[in-house]
Amino acid sequence: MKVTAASHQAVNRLSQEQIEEFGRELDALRAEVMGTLGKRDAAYIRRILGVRRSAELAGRLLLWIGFLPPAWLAGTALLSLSKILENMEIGHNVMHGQWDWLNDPKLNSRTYEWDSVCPSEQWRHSHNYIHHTYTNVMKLDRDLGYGILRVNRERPWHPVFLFQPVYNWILALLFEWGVALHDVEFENIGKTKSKDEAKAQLRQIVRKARRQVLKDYLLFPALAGPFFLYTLAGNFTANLIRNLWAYMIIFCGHFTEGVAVFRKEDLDNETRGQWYLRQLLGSSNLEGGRVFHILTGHLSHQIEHHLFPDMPSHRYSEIAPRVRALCAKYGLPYNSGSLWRQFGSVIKRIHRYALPPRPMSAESSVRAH
Amino acid sequence: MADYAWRFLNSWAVRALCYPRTVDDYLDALQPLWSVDEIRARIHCIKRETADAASLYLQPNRNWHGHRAGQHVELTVEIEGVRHSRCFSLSSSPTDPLLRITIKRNGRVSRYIVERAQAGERVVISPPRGSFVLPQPRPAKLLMISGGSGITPMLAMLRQLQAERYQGDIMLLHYDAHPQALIGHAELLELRKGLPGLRLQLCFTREGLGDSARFSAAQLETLVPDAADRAAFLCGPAGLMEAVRRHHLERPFRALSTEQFVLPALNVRGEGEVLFKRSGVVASGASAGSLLELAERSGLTPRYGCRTGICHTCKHRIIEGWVRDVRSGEVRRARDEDLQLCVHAAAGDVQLDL
Ligand SMILES: Cc1cc2nc3c(=O)[nH]c(=O)nc-3n(C[C@H](O)[C@H](O)[C@H](O)COP(=O)(O)OP(=O)(O)OC[C@H]3O[C@@H](n4cnc5c(N)ncnc54)[C@H](O)[C@@H]3O)c2cc1C
Repeated sequence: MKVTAASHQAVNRLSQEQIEEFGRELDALRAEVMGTLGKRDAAYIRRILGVRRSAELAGRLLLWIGFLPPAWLAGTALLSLSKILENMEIGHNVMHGQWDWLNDPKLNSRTYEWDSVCPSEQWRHSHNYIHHTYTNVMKLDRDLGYGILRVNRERPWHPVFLFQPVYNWILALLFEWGVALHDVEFENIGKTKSKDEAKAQLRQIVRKARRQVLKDYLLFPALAGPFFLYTLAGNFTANLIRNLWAYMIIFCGHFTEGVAVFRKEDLDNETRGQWYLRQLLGSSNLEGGRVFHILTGHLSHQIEHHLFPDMPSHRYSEIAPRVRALCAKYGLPYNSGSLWRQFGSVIKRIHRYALPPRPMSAESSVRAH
Repeated sequence: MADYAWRFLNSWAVRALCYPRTVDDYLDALQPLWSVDEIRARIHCIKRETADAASLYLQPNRNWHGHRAGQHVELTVEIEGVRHSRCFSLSSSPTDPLLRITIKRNGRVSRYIVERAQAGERVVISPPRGSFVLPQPRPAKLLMISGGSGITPMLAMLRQLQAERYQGDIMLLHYDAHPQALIGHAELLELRKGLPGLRLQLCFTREGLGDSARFSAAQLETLVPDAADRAAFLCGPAGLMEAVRRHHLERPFRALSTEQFVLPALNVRGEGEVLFKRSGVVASGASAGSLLELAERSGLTPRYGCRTGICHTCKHRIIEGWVRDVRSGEVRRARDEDLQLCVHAAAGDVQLDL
């Protein structure tokens, strides 16, 4: 495994046997947590569902009288909260199968549809399968820069990247729509993807988007009658806030300073231990309080999430100290910082890698094995 | 819920406002029994039948549209936050004011219901299922053979026949371990008053009578000499059902309908047989590393992604079976859940909904 980040010299010192031992310890941790899932976890997710529902109902109601400025502000805030909880803590995690063991048809990973213009079925493919299996592998993980951004040195430079400091923000504002189009894989049409397949996906996106738009931009505003525009503006703003929040949290997961990328060859004969190692080195965490973690859908624990994608998310906070201790034991980095530090480093990289590479003095690569 | 309210809530516009959540997700907050999609029922009361069995009287919501005596429902209860579904025959007739199911304590779900369920609790039930029902027109002579909790659909049929003032001849041949285990004895005696043709023949297999109390051709000959003229209904433990079916092959009844409560015993030796139920394919679990590979080798094409247990794309419903998690080696019995086929192998007989 070739780890191209100077901060990862430690990986160098681990023997293959140590890497496997590291993996076995993580397996044991997973088994321990999964073996104790029960009432407390069920109560947690049902409480989150309840909070989300109350936030939405209150938000919609307040936006109905949105011509009063305080009602508009509070309504928009509550609706944003509801959409953030739904996308991050509920939708994303339900679709990972974190709650399948509850056997609740409303929380089933195969059938859950989230409050986003991206059809769940396409998300499950691009995210659960492609991104979580090929995490941070160049040319395979399509989430690495989402095709249009150069976020690491290893990606060849192209003049179009000069504009990325600008179109990065367009992506942020339209994040939901970018996510929706992601799985169509426009760059692969005619290659690994047939035109018909892409067309079918686009049709599915249009169908989903139509229902989302109908609800937020037509039906709910229409219910407000003469105050149509206030409700419309509130719904639009809530979707926008959700977009920006999701964008920021998600970009902090894999594009921060110190995150490693990998080559296709690294996947050859990859063992369980090496897979864990790749997930660890390719992810970065955010620090904050309980509410912050919930609002990020526990993606603030990106490392724990990538190690155990189907573990109920609220358990990540509980095991994080143990994962961190395990990393310390093996001398492995554990990339974690405040939102502002991590997001600052992402923005810095988006600017730095917009420019062509400077002539390199020493290529800092390390070998893990 | 009033009719107009239900129709309004179920309308295209309200559904569109709730999308992608369902109307029920919001109704839950108001009144747990209200639903536009599901049949939800409140446990009205619980009546203990024997030391091991209890009857639940259920008040369903308006999505329930009646059943035929002998049919069953899938009942879903929540135990420690986790939902479990099991089938139960309705022991009430469509003419009764409340639905009733009668449950004998056995494993996880039945134990919960018999020991811990409370009046007022909400459960979810499926629409009625099954074709274990009385034929139309009613046959002149009936034979009901039941064992243990298998008496439940018979009770429903008898209640139905009583309500119809059926005048024909009914023989109920029931097997149980001992008299204390018998469900609904008082009710049967009561039913006899309204059904002049009903005769009860109770056989207790653990009362020191040895095999003479068990079903056999000779026993049937003595107890029901005219069995061949009767339309027969059969429900009980696997052994009893097997014996009666075999008898029916040699000396057929006029007709035989059956309801099976328990699947024939599952093997736990090594790797078992895997039945892909939807496609009707059977394969030997030993011939592949995972259920996903096995399905593919058997010519099926289930969806899959990572093939290493990460993405959950290959999940399919397991009806029942023994599986081994190939990551941990753990062997467990799974029932009615979604299983990741790529990281599970058969560790005994398995039935998949695939
Ligand atoms: C159409 C139909 C109608 C039915 N109607 C009725 C009815 O009217 N009344 C009624 O009481 N039942 C009825 N049943 C049976 C009912 O659905 C359940 O199967 C029964 O109650 C047992 O479920 P459980 O969850 O209690 O047991 P489960 O936990 O599912 O266990 C079932 C059996 O397997 C055994 N078992 C469980 N785990 C293990 C293990 N790890 N190792 C070894 N053995 C194990 C248990 O001891 C038990 O004997 C009906 C079934 C069907 C299919």
